Amino acid sequence: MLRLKFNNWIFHHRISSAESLSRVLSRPFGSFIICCLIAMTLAFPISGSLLVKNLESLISKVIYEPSLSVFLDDQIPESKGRQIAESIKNWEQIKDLEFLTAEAALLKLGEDSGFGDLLLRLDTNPIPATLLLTLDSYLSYEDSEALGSQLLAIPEISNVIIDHAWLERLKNFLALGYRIIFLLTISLGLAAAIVISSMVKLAIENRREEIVVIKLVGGSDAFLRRPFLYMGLWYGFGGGVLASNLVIFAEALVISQVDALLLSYQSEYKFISLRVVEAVNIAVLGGVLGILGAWGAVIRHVPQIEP
Amino acid sequence: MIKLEHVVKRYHGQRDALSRVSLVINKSEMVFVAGHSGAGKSTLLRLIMLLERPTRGRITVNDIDLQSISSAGIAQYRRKIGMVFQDHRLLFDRSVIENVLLPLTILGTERKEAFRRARAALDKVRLLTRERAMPKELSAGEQQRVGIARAVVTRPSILLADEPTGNLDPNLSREVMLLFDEFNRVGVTVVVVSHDLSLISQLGHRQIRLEEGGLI
Repeated sequence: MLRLKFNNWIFHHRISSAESLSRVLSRPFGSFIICCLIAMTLAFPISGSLLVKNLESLISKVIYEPSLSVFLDDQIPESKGRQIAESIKNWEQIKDLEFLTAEAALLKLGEDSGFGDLLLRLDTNPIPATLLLTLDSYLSYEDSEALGSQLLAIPEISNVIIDHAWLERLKNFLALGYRIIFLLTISLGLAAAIVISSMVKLAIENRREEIVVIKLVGGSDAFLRRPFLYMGLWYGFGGGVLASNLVIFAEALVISQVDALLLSYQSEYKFISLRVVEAVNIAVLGGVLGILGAWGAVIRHVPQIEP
Repeated sequence: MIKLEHVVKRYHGQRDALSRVSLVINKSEMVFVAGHSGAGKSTLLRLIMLLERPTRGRITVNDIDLQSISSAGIAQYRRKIGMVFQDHRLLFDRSVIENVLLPLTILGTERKEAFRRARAALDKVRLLTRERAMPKELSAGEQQRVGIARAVVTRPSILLADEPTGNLDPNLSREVMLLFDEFNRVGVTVVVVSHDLSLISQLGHRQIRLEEGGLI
């Protein structure tokens, strides 16, 4: 008996889903527009997420050694500077140390910045004697900061610059990017659900007379909800599939330019594309949003229609 | 059995649509509820069908106190009662057989069995040959017979009909009434609301007369 009831329940789900699909397909243009709206709201955060993921992956492949530039007080003689260099050289965090006199430091700055000629024309050298410290690669940014503070405690050291701070800032920007994309996903997902909810509400209004008849012959609200929930599912799923295709299309448009750009930086980095499993997940997410949106509409409007 | 005890139905700001009505309709009985327009006939059926709740009083149907049925249980209750409407209430985007199948689909009847029963119901109302037709292709009398087939397809113990011959000519009206008579003969309790007194008199069943919400 229970098995029979279950089979009938499954059967009704099959009927409801097929009937809803046929209703959605019977208005191909209108349904396509709705799916496009949903696709656009989903494609935007997906593309953003893909971009941030690529940037993150690109950064993780940048080989760098944490380093510090330690500026000595410009009043101290070279011998004293070398003495300080010797005293800190064997600190366990320091892998390598190079002492640069004020002149050598100015030359290096000129080389690194490309403003060498300009710097050589200055009347006085604004750069003091400098220690270039290469740190152990296992050191975190916080460790580098702690070491910098430790060094600043030495009276002859006037300033410490963490050379790889830009990378840390970029990482922070990426973390912010992920947060923004998360918020976008939630708000645009909500927008997609609202679009579906409105469409389902309209469908309920259009089928008001049918709902009344079904209620008169004993149809429960659960029975009446089913086709509309499936309608939401189809719209959401269709929107999800379209969103995946939009992202794949956008990828195909930009990938050659991205590769060319990376090549110009001698990078062999391969752009991370949308994987099949992710595309399927997007379609499923669209379907879930569709059901949630439809649920929002049916739960309010179906019980309100009474014979 | 349908039992009404001191039932009052009052719509907001209006006089009583039903005023302290008490009556009993026995199991397997066929009764006509007659009266002029606004006498409370349809209100009586709506209360029995649980489309509305009485303002006061008690209604018992097959030993179930309707007051005890919650909103969630109404659908379950209506599945046990067949209802025929003056305006047929058919779904015009579904074929005749799909209309008749609807209550069985709601009940979760196995598909093969549902088709068998729907065809049997259509055969009973002599519309088996039109099972694939759409309602708009049928005459008013045929549409009413589809409505009757839909009402009886679940084999309800009670059949309620609200002015089922209201839109039909005298011949078709008689044909429809005879159908109800046939169902009654196999044990179905039938309550027919009608203002067609001459037709009611011909069939010879008990009459319940309502006037201004009260029994006379």
